[in-house]
Amino acid sequence: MKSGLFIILLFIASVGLAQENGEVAKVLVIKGDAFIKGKEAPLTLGSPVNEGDVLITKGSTLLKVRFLDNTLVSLGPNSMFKVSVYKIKNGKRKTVYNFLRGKIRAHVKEKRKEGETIVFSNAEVALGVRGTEILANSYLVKGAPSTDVMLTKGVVEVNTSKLGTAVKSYSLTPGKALNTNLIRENGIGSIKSISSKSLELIASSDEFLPALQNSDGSFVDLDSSISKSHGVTSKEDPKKEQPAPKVKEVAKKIANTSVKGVIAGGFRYILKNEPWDIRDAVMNSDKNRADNKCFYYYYKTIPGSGEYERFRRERDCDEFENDL
Amino acid sequence: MKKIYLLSLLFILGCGSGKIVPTTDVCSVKKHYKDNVFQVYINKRPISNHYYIYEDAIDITKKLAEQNKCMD
Repeated sequence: MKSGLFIILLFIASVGLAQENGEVAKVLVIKGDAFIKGKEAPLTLGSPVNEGDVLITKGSTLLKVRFLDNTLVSLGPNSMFKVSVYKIKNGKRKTVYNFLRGKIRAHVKEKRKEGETIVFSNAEVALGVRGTEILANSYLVKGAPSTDVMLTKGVVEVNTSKLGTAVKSYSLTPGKALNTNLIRENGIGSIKSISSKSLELIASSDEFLPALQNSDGSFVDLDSSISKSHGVTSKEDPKKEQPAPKVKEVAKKIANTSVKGVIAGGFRYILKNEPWDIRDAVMNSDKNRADNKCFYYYYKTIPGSGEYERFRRERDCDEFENDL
Repeated sequence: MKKIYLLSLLFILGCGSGKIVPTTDVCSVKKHYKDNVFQVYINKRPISNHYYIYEDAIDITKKLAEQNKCMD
C-alpha cells in the first residue's frame, strides 16, 4: 500500500517537474530524419518535446513520441505536427494538437474524463477524442487540401463546420473513415465503413492510413488499399504473386533478366519498409503501365536544409533520359 | 585510273552492305546508396541523373539493348 502510494506520488512529481521544464513528451522511436521547427539539432531517441513545438519529419522517416499522459503519436514521412496546447491542471488535461501535413497515427491511451479537452485538428476538421486510436492524413489534391480520418478504437467527435456541412458535428466509430472532399460533395452520408478484416489488419499494425483520394481527384477503395499496404492479395486477382505473402511482411520480387550487370536474382521490395512514393509506384506498377504511367526520381537539395531530398515525376513508360 | 575505279567500287559496295555491328557496351543498374531506386548505366557511366524503381530500370536496359546501345 505504502509503495503504491509512493509510486503515485513519484509519478505526479515527475509530471510536475517535466511540466515545469516545459517538456510534455519524449521521442520514443526515430527512424530517419526529424527535427523541431526553429531548432538546428535533429531529434534523437529521448529528445524532449515542449508545448508549442512543431515536429517535422523528412522523407523516409518514422517518428513516435510519447506524451506525459501516455498518448502515443506516430508521424509518417514528410509530416508536420504541432503541439499547440498541452496543460495538465488539477489532474485534468487540456491538449490541442494540429496535424498540418502528412500522416499521423495517434493512440490516446487514457480515456478522456469529464472536464478534459483532447483535440486533434487541422484547417478542415477538429476531432474531439475519447480514449481512441485515430489515423489521419493531411495532403493536397490539385492544390486543394484533403484530409482523411479513420478510427480503429474508441469514439471521436468530428467537427466539420469549416467545410460548410449541414451537420456540423457527429461521432465517428471504429472502422469508419471520412475524407473532407467527399464530405463537401456528398455530406456525412459519404463516411465509409471498412470491412472487419481491414480494421483488424490496420489496428494490429503500425501502418498509416492509405490516402483516400488520388492525386487526380478520384477516390480509392479503402479496403483494397489497406489490404495491399499490408501485403494481402485479393482472391479475385489470380495474377498477383503466389504464394500469398504474410500480412506483416510483403515482398514483391522482380524477375531477373538476361541483361548483364543486373543484381543477381533480381531485387526484392519489402513494401512495408518503403517510403510511400516508392511503395505506391511498385504496388501499382501493373495498373500504371496499362495507363502508360511511369515515374522517375531525382535528388536535389532544398535551399536552407543542405540535405538531398528525393522527388518523383511522372513520365510515359517508354520515355527516359539518356545523356550519353 | 583503274585504281580509282577499283577504290570507288569498293567504297560503293561497302556503303551498300548495311551491316549493323553489334555493340559490346554493357548495360547495368545500380541501386541508390540509401533508397531502393536504381540508376541505369552503360559501361559504368549513368545514362542520366534519374532513378527508377527496379522493374522500370530493367525495362530501360532492354530498350537500350533494342537500340543497340548495349548488349542483351
